[in-house]
Amino acid sequence: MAQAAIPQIVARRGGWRAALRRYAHVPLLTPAVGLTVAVFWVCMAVLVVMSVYPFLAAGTPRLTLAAWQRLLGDPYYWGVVGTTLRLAFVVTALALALGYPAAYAISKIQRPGWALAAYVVLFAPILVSVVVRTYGWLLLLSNTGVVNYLLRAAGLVREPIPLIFNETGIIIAMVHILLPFMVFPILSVVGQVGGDLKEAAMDLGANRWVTFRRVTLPLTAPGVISGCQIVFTLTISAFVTPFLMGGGRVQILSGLIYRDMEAVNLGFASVVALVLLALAVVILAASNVLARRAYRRAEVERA
Amino acid sequence: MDVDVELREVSKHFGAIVAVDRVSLAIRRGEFFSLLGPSGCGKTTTLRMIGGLEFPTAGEILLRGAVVTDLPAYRRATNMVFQHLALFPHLTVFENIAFGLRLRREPPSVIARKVDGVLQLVDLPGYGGREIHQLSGGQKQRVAIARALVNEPAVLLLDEPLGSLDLKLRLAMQTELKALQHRVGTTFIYVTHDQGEALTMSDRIAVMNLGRVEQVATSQEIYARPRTRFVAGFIGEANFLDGRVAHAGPDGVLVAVNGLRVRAEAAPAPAGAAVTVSVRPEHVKLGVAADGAANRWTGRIEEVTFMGAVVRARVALDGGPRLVAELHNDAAAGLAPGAAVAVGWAAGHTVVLAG
Repeated sequence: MAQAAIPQIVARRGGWRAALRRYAHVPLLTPAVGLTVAVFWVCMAVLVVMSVYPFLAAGTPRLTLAAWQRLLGDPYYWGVVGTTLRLAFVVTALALALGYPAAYAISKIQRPGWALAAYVVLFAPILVSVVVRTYGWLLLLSNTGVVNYLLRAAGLVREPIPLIFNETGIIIAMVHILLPFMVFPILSVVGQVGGDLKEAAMDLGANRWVTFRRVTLPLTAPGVISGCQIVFTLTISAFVTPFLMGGGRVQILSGLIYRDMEAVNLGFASVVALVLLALAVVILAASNVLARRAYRRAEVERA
Repeated sequence: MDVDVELREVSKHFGAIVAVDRVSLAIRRGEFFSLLGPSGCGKTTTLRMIGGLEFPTAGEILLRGAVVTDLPAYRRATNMVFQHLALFPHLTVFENIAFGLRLRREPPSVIARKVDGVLQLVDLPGYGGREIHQLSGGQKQRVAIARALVNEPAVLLLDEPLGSLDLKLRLAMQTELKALQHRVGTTFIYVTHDQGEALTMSDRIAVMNLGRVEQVATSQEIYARPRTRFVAGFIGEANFLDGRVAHAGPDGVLVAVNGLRVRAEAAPAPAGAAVTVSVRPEHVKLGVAADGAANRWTGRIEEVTFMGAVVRARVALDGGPRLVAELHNDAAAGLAPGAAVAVGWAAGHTVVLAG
């Protein structure tokens, strides 16, 4: 009996000590989780409630799906969703097209001084307010701006090309503003693809292009996916730049939210906000499936 | 005899640094050829130039009689096993090995057959579906060799491929590599800084130092008849005595070292030239074992070190120079520091080096 009891006590003691150790990280996590729950999840709950009880604030709660019906039933709003997604996809694609070569080139810089210079050039704009940068683009791209002046002076166009108050302007400004968010994640993985892997590919008969396509690109996929996720999410939820560059002529979801909040149409604003969130979640979830595969390979690479 | 790889006066400069200095080599078909030397001697650079991963500053490289000096790696019939293996982490074992075959657009059935065949050859049958990170060090090694061999290269280049393995596995892989080379009959060029590895596996060895080839010969010859002081010191161990050729005739050579006259069978220099005499510790006999040796003196034991199967003794000769002798531990019974002892070796074991 006694002999059997002793291991049991030891086991139980080991049990609660192990349990304490197992939950030792909880105090570290609490502030961040607490803040997120209070600010984000509670507000999200409020949004959901407001989308079906639009007059809650006025003190006359009445369940209605009118706001949902209005958004989902009107082709105009489907067009707005389409514009939002199209802008996000185009901005992401262009940022990738510009950002990947830039990240690749920076990773190749040998001299530390030049590498630092490249970092400063690429990342310093983050320090300047988005509003300032957007106004800068308005000045550059307007009908009387520098770009149109140069195009006309060079004799390439006779009439100024409309570059602001349309999607073109939004895309140009957004790509510029979000470019660092594409370059940075790619830069962090592209340098890890060892030179010996590229040499191995060349030794096995791959020229530079094939080496890039079969070795470098798959191994940098995790960085590409993170960069695209960041840029895409920031673009579909962006407000200031599309608002200023679009000049009220390009309507996107974030603009709708602003408009309806201004008009104290809180029910509809909540619905649009939830749709925007749903779009972001769906796109991120889909890309995460890709990312998980890419990350599994990349972890192996680091091992 | 067919020559697979020929280097003619090949040099490689990196800025002001001369990594490889006018190296000429002829490597025969089917040979296991080693480039041996300390780190920084230019052996890896030489190998990389043969593989087309580096290009010579001067000189010519021929592969099976054709000049390939400026051809990039992907146009050469050479394949390399890299020091850190460089297996593709995003591909399975099968896809790693099939990499070169796919680039040559071989039909899938041929690829499957060749990959299976080479996996059998390196003793990893059925491993095609594994991920690289699931393999042990020795298995990765085999996959790296398989990935190169499956392309049936004219020459297989190996850049210290066993360096990252522990000693036991390394010794096992040495035997296995040699056996593999025998089976496939491909010319192997093997870079190593480990003299034991080179002596064990190679048909011939090129000993390199400071960008130059010091000697090219078989393992036995390199060991028994080193041509330079560097080779004698780098391969195995040696006692060095500086002297001058006193007499050189058809009956043998006499070298004056301080007061001693050392007998040798041949010398690379005429009478009067300054030379270095080299003798291996295991050839230096002590006590009765030295009786009748052509070179025989008396000396005093200074130090005795027990090393397991062998015992090492440092002896000061009465004429002044010190020598290290290596004896089997049963022959060393009774040796003690301070004891007077006869020291000697056969004339055939004296190696006379120029300079």
